[in-house]
Amino acid sequence: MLKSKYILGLFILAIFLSFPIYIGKYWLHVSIISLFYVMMASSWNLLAGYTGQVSFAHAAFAGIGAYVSGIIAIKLNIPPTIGLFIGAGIASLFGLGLGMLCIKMGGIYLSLTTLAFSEIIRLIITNEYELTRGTMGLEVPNLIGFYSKTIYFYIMIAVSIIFLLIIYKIIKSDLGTSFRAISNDELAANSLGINVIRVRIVAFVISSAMAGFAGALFGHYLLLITPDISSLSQMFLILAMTIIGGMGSFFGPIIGAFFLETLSEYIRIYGEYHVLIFGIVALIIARFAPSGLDGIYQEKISPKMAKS
Amino acid sequence: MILKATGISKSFGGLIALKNVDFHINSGEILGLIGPNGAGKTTIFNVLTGIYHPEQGNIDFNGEDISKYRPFEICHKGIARTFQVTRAFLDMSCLENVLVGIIGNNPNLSPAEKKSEAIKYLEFVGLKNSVDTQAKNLTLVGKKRLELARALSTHPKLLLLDEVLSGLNTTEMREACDLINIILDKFGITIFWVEHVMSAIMEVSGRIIVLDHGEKIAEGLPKDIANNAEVIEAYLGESDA
Repeated sequence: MLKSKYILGLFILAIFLSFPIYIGKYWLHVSIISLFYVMMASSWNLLAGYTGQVSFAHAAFAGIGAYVSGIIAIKLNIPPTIGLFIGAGIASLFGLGLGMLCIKMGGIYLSLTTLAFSEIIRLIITNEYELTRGTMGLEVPNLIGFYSKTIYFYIMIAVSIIFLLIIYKIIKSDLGTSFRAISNDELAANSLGINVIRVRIVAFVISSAMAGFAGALFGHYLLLITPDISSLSQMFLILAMTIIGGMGSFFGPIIGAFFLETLSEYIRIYGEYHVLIFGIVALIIARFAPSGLDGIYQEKISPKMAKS
Repeated sequence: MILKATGISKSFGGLIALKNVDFHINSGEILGLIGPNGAGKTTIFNVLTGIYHPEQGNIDFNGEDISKYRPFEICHKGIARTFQVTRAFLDMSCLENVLVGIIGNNPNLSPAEKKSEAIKYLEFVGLKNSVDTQAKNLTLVGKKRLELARALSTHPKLLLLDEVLSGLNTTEMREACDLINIILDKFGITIFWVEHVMSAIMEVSGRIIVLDHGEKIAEGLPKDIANNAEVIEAYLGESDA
């Protein structure tokens, strides 16, 4: 059983790795965007799905990462390969600060505070014209020095896999168990000797560092970053991907990211109505599969396969 | 003496929950805490475990004042508790529930050691067959047993039990009382418990303290408490005759 899962996994990976051979430039571009969302949704899931801290600042951290890496590349001539890590570092510092600010908060108060933080970041990016060129967008250098969708696709895959391995390690570790204990019952976890505050902040720092890295990586692919990257619509997309895929499950955000990104490409032709279709899909999933697409697999398909 | 609380006061807005309460717990005893509803019993537990900090007074635990410590620090010092309304981690398995206590206190054990330790405590409370069961699927008794296993897994010196018997039938109460005695005998853990079921607390406790309106009104052996006029008055109300 376990072996067949490995084979299935390798098979999917092989198909995926051969994408550049047979899918066109357009779908390669869609795949790269999907991978960005895999990183974003998975790292948000670590924070929101596992520790129960529903933060709305995740897209803002991606924005911080992208702009920090972009600005230092332009102003200080720091190569983007190093800039990625600096962007992630700065984003994690902001994550630390925001996490500390939210220590005493839970539920809706934490969400509101992070929402406000997210808007502050977006406004700063929009208005600090000298530094960020506002809504005009900031032209940033390419990560690898020349433009190749194929190579970028492989870079995105590699980073996604590293991210997912780290996340998998964390959720299977003691830290992951503490995460889930805290989201189940913070007071009980505290009474059992878990330093709840530290664990919550650690979750914030890890997930914001990942968002910062992903944002910077994506920025150096797009070559033009706009305040859009840290907008709330971006945030809600990440949220929708995680929830539709399956919040609090490892595979959920991965499935959700590919599903929604691909779907949005197909329904783009309907113009303004594509938001409507998006909403209907979210509604149907929320009604019929509250634990997301991964939940359908876990509850309906997996037990049947085990039986036969 | 394992714990000595002196002059504990705690109020919520205008409501005085505890007023200048003094008590001590001897090492190796089962101390009972009784009192009418709203007497401040759970507040005492919350003060001892750092969920609330007392406004006045100090709590000496093994020679250290713990009245300003946070819950997890108090747990590390050796006080564990169960909750009146069970607070199991519902979306986690029984094994994982107990692992949390071990992770919180003994993070350096290997994963295999942690697991076998957790299973040991689950077996002790009689949940051997529910190791992989999600806590939400347990019955009330099961959840109470799980909380006990979880509390024991933190290696406490003092265990606080908040109404472990409520909601149990007579047989289950019997078993729970036996378990409490075994915890003292086998693990040498001192027990401080709150209970509404008089027959049980009178039988199992070595000593009892009585709380009414946030004040300690009596302290002594169970048989003396049962005949104490002030205690009877607190429970039954003043007689007009």
